[in-house]
Amino acid sequence: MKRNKGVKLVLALAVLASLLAGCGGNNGNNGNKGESETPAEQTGANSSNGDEAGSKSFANPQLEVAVFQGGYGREYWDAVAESFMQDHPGTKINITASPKIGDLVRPKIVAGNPPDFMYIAGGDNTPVLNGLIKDNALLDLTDVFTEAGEDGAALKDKILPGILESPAIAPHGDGKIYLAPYNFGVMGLWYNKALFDAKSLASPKTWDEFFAMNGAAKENGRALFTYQGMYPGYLEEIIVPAIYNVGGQEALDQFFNYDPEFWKSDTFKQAFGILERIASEENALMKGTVALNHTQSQTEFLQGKAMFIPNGSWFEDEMKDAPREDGFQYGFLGVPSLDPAKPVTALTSVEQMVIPAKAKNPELAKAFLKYLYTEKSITLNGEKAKGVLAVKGAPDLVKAYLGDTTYNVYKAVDSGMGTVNGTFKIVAKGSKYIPADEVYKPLSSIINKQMTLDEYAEKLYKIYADIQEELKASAE
Amino acid sequence: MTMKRRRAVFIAACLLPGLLLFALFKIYPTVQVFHKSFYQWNGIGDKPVFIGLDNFVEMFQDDTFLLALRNTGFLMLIVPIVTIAIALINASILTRSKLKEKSLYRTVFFFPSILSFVVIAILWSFIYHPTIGFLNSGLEFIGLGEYAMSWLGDQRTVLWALAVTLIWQAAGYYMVMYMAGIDGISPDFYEAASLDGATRLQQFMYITVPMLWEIIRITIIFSINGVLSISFVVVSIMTAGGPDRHSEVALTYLYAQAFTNSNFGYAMAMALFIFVISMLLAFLSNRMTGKEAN
Amino acid sequence: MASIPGAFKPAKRSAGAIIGIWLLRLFLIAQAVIVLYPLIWNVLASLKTNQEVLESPWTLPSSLQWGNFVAAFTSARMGDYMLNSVLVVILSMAILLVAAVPTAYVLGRMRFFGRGFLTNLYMAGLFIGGVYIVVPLFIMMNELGMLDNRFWLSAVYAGGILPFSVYLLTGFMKAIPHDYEEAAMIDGCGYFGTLFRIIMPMARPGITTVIIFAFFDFWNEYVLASTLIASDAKKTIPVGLSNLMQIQKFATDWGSLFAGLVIVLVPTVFIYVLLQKRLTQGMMMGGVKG
Repeated sequence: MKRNKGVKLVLALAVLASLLAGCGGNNGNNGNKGESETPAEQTGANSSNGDEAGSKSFANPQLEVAVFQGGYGREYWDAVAESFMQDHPGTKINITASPKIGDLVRPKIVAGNPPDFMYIAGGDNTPVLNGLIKDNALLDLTDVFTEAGEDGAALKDKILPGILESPAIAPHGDGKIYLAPYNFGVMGLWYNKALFDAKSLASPKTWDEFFAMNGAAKENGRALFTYQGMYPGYLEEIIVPAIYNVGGQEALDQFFNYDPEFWKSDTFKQAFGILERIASEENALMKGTVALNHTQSQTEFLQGKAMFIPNGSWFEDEMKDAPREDGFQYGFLGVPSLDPAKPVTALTSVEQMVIPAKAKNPELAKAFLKYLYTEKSITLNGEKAKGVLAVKGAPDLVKAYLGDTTYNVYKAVDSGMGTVNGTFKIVAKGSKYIPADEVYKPLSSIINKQMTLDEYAEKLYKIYADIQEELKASAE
Repeated sequence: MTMKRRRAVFIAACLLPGLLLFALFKIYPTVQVFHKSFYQWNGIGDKPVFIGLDNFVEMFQDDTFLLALRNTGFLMLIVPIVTIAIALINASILTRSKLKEKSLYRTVFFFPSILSFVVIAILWSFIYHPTIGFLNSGLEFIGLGEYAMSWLGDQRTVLWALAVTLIWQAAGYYMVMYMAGIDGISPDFYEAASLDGATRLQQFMYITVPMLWEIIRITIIFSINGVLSISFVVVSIMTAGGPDRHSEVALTYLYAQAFTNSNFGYAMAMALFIFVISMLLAFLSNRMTGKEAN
Repeated sequence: MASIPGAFKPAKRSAGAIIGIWLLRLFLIAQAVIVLYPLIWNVLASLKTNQEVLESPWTLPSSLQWGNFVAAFTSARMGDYMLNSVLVVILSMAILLVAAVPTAYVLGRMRFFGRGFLTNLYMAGLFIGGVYIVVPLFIMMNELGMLDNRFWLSAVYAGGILPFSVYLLTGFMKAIPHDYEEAAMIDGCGYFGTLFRIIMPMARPGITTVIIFAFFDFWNEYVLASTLIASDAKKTIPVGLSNLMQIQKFATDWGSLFAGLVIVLVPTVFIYVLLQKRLTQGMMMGGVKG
């Protein structure tokens, strides 16, 4: 492909190009590992599913799959594709995986030739996904989840409650599902369990209890709290549950859907007041926090320099090589409550998979998507990716592959801990605002005591009003 | 083929490869910057929509852009001045003194300018590291522990910290340029001056600087342009524009608008603006320094 | 400095002058330490355990952790990135020379219609930095299917440094006496023959200077490489390094990170020491003539 385009260009360069691009192309084609590894003789191996597969052959057996290769790796996708091809003889899945999958698929999307199925995640890549949502360029997947499956139950009943209704999955607010849920994550505050056990400390249930532990933190030679300073977006793990805790879903909708009045509400003052308190109380914030990136601050936490840090269920896996204080044990407590009558809450998130509206083989893509929610696939995902699909009972299916702590985090959510999730509504096309940046970046200034909550609220009020106006203008 | 014809073919053949490269990878993108800055375009699916000067109007109401511009301006002012001053002083010391090991200093001082910006940025983010960095632990070591702070995490110090990194990177480079210039100055001038009782400082001010003025003028422009592009790498690795965008520079913001926010038209408008500004600065500094020389 | 009048006079040295020289020396040594210490520290850190890196920046490693280098080459793929960098540097250099040398020759030594215009055009190109145009470049290459391709990245690199190279080489070309060419033409060398057999050898110092500059430029480039290359297998060293620093998978392995930095430093230092004189000379020519 590269070569043809090169020839079209210009004589002198192209001669050189075709000679050299060839050598660039050969070893660059790392994405198609599965291609040569699908021997025909294996198809008989899985006879149990043979009838089903045989009765339903696909007009077009080719499926192009593009996946993000991040913390979860690519092994799951290779394995599940292999398994799908065995269960559906004659089909052929090509997997392209990259940490920058967005950049790889962008040209194909522009050319009107997108992959059939995409799993896009990671900060570098999500803009592509947002672009597709803004352009209405995704296939409506509602039927995949509503129609009755082989066992008579609709897929939607298997998915964790609340997920399919969330704007991350149904972005246009009309209940139609355009993004399918993949891995499920849980976020909140972490602590060193070994220390808490040894000193018989109880994990705090409310923010007042949290701040009351400052004395204990000091006695044990550490600050009360640290966070991923260079990326203040991690503070959402505290802020979002706090908003929900005080103002309920109503306040959360205001926050995520850009109601400027949110910034004048009491909910705002209470939720963001936590940060002001962290900034002003002595020993509450670990020195130097604001300048540290995520792994640096997390390492400081593991070394016992701070008592609490916000992070997600991937924590243990992410930091497996990092040095830590003696006897360190991960402990997850969720996010304390502001209102003592309400439970500790954790923020949840879900990764997304999509089928572009222009996919050449939507039928097979949908079949592949359904396949991902089977027990077999869920187990593979636990084994290969250490991930947990947003499906009821998934944590137990993959228990064997998860660390104890990670399993307990998922289990905590399953049994009583409150959960909350949400994402910012997509802003108008061409808007200069990146909502998460606008909301979270100034938090560094609050933490540094270089901005007051009032100044912050005033700033955000204007921004929200502006975003609303842009949305109205673009709707006309 | 006549001689004349052969000559023309030869000239064309020689120019063609260069022109193709130049046109494709420099001129065309530059023209695109001008053109697309008048459009709204997300760079993915939709057709660009002509919106006239809207992007430019938007730009001047965009607080983040204005802040980024201010930060860039700060760096473009401080870094060239300090870099050039240090480079000049070192150059004149190394050329005019009789130190035996001076070529060693030259080798060492020049070294940072051949390092990858990525390497420099990573190294300096550890120098400034609030707990294990050797700036803070060094301060503690010499009893100034109370001055230890999180240099990159505080809006009052972050730009200065970045400026120091940029100066560290470039000072040796300009020093070598000036050394060449000083070598070209006739020793008679210095001889005569010292016979007249001029101090070394006076010699520096009244001989070295004026004689090098042409080179200094050029290096000012080089340095301004260098800061613009190097700051991009250094900021994206060392601070990600933080804290709260107090180290965001024009190019990091432009890049985020294009690639994070899919706002290609807007990003191009910013690129055009920065391009024009930097040309203007080059022109202006040329005019100003030119007059001074007279 | 002001206190040492006439210090350079070879005559008698007063006590003041000697103190002055030592003050100067101290001033220079302090700067040399500031320049070198981060690099020495980096080498030390590359041989430490994770735990040691996080303790004090002033200690020596208790035992040498060569495993960091193994990890950098294997799990962090520095070896692959290095090969990519080498490939890209060679390709870029080839393209650059094919484009720059003939252009400079023609612009520097022949008179023809449009020569002034072209010379100015290339001069203007000096001001177009890679970072401004990275966005349209990305879009254009996206449309032409040139993204994520090491050859086209190299072409962009060559195009990027072309104005500077043409500018530098033109100066060298102009300095070659005309007699040589005339003699060659009379001998029936033809235009191309003259260029390759007579001019190129004579312009060798200039070409070498361009090559050295271009090498450091290509070897260290980050912004374009990180934007125009997407797949992991094609990344060059600077991009690989910043990944090492940022991507969660490896980011907690400080030892390998610093080993990776050393791996990048070594070829740079090697080439620098080897070519130091030529490099600084070339810079003087480039700078002073401008």
